[in-house]
Amino acid sequence: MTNQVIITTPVPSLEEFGRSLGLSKARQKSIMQIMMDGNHRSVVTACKVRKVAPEAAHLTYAKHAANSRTKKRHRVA
Amino acid sequence: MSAARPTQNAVFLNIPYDQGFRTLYLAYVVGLVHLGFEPRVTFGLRNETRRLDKILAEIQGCRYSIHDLSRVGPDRNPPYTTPRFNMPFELGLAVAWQKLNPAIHSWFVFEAKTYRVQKSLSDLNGYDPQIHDGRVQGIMRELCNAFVRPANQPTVPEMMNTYRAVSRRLTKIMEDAGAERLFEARVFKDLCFATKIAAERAKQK
Repeated sequence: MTNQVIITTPVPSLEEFGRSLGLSKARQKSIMQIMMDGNHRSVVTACKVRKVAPEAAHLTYAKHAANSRTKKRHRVA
Repeated sequence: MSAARPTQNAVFLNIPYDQGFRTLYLAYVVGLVHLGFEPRVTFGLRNETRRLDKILAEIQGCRYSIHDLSRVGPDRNPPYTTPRFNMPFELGLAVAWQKLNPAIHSWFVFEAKTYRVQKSLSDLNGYDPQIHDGRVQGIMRELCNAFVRPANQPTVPEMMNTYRAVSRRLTKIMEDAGAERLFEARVFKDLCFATKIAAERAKQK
């Protein structure tokens, strides 16, 4: 058995792919929204990455949001 | 056994579905979708009485199959501590199917450690498995080694970017699906579609 194959089948478009997965238009739209929604990390994930206790999540998130606002302001300036 | 025409871009994914394999599972899904494939898994078949028939039908419906044999240690979940035979068993089904229909199926073995499969499954001696080192980047690298597109072959860094983009939104995707576990049919479909969106966006940049 070879351990390499040449692929010649065309890559399906987003629409074809969604259809072959059997996803409804509404579900596709909802996933699209999640993926387009910037680089926002959910609070849970952000806490895991930053190793913060869940009870301090709101503080961390607020601080993170404030920091990114400041950075944006600096960039504009 | 009749040889029905398989879906040309479908890949049957034979991997362990457990918490320790979450990142590598995500890597397989992202890597395959980024390469233009449609991965297929067996989540929906857990309590089926004719599970085996359905697994065989899935293998027959896919042009390719990937068998990850990196989980060779004993599974300590109660009631018994045993190794898991599902993956080598399904590999056996795929090998038999390919022997009978060499033109319509190809299988690949993925492992984490070099030369281990020569001991754990010596019947495969002479075949070189893809060694991913148990790392996400290793999976992407080996998928690119196994599946080559003459044009528009994505690079490993591109695939890694897509992996990060999907991984960052995993919690939200699971929340939206109302899922508690990653290994659920609906989350799987959502992940595939999310990957496709991320890959398309990366291409446009």
